[in-house]
Amino acid sequence: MIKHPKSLHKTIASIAVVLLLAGCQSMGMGVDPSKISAVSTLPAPADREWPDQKQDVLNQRARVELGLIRSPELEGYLNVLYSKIKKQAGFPNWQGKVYIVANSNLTAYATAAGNIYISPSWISTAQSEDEIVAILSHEFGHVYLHYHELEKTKVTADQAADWITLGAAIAQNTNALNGWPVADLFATGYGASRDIAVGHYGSSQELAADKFALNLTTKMGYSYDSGVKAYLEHQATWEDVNEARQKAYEDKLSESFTGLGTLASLKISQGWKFVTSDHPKTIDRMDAVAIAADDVPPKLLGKKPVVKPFNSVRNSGAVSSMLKSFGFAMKGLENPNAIDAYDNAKKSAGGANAKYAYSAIAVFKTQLASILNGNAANANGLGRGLDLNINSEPDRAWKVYVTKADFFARMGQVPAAKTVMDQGFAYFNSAGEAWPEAILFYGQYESWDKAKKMAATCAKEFPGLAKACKTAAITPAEKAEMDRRAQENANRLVNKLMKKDK
Amino acid sequence: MKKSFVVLSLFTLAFNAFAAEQITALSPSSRTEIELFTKAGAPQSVKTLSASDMPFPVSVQAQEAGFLKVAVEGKTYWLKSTQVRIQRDVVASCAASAERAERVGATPGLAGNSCK
Repeated sequence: MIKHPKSLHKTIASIAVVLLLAGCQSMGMGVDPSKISAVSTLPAPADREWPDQKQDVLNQRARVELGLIRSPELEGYLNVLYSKIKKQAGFPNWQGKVYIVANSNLTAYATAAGNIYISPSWISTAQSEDEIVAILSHEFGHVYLHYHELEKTKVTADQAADWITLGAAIAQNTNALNGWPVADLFATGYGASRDIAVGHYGSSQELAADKFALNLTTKMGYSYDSGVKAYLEHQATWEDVNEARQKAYEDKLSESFTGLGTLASLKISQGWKFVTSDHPKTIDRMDAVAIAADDVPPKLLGKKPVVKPFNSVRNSGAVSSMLKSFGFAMKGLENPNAIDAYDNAKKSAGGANAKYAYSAIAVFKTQLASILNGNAANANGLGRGLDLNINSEPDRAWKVYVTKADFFARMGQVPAAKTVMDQGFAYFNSAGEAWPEAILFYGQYESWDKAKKMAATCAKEFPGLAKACKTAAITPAEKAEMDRRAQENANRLVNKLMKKDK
Repeated sequence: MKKSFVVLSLFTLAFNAFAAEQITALSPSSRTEIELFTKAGAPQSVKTLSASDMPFPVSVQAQEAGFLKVAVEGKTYWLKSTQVRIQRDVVASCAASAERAERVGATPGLAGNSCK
């Protein structure tokens, strides 16, 4: 019989969260966000060990679904701006460059290596150099504020929690705590608490990065109005667009009985995402920045934006061509089964753009969909774009290898699939993000023993990916057993609750 | 109030900055009044309007030196851009925005993932 099971559960969950928070404190976690103001001298940044810059780029080429886009002219322009930002902050020699990430969303992010990744959508959306500098300054703010220490702390706390979970499960030697294994309960409790703690910390960092951007950009002579304010307003509009899209989807779901079930799950998930979000609402950020901007000298607030050099780069041949090509590829990927999807995707593959992963994958997916929809005449040259990407070493994306290997395997050509995977993994194996998909592939098409050995190596080399690698190495039989147990636990819990109600 | 959104096609890449931009609120949200000016850059306002009297959304007719030209109550005025929130055109889509879950090493992005 278990004594005080609930207090045990609470205790161990609390221990893990304390570990996480203690980790945050003991590791310094960079600059205190509350010390960032719009006009003051910036507090000194924390000392750090810089991760390898080139490895970081390879990591992104493995991580991002459609890879990176090499655009020397655009990157050159952005890197001149980034250098000015670093100089203004007092650290002109800090490492880090700007890269273009093939994501159709409005997105930009920074890594601990000091690199900033920005999507073509931001390049197309921004209205001035002021806005681009503000976005880059916001991201540089995360580097300066040492946001990435949080990641290390999370991994450390997760590992500690794993040990506590294991210890608790052994100590209890039981499979029932209100109908649910103690380890599962603890994992749920820890995971929930961790996500809330991390979300809260992330939110404060976003507000600090906005103020950091306001501080730097106005000192550099850029406008608040066309800079920080503009990017927040663009972001707010984009969120409104997506809320409207989401509402339309939910309205459609509510029209059917099965849809209502999906809608209920969705609402629970959305509620949880809201609680654990690492970004405050954009409107709150806009308000916070508007209030902070009161401290900025009025002459700097509404300065005339710098438009000409930005438009000159954006409208230049290669950059303009890439942006249009990206647009066609995204149009194709929106719905690969649409009647004009393949035609749109093909338009993305003109000239030098054909080697980019976004174009190669868009053409492949839409072409395959077209063939499967009965247009056998479109079969010619299937996968040619994938080869173009693979043969262009600096443009290679991990997902291209995965797509090609998966296609061969599904066609029953397992040796050819393995050759592709071997080549891809040989190139990308120093990037942890490549491991889960490689493990799954080798498990499915070579042996699960190999997959499990790879998962153990992955956990050792890339602790942050341990869970994903472990999951990828689960055999179909193990998965079936886990599903059966989960169902059994759920049934037991329901029965218990039903009895209690009676 | 019915919101109208403008998301430009990724193909057209039309950068007519103020073709469809609208003022949707005062900024920050706690602001209760807005100053109206007869010309951009004027040192003194000629009128103050409460937020509830602003007929949102208000179309932006022109921009100059941190001021926005608008039509309010049948007359043309200028107001400070810093005192209002603008709905701006966006060139983006959710076609290829899926980030892999539970990955490491990067900040969560400028504003998280809007394509949920």
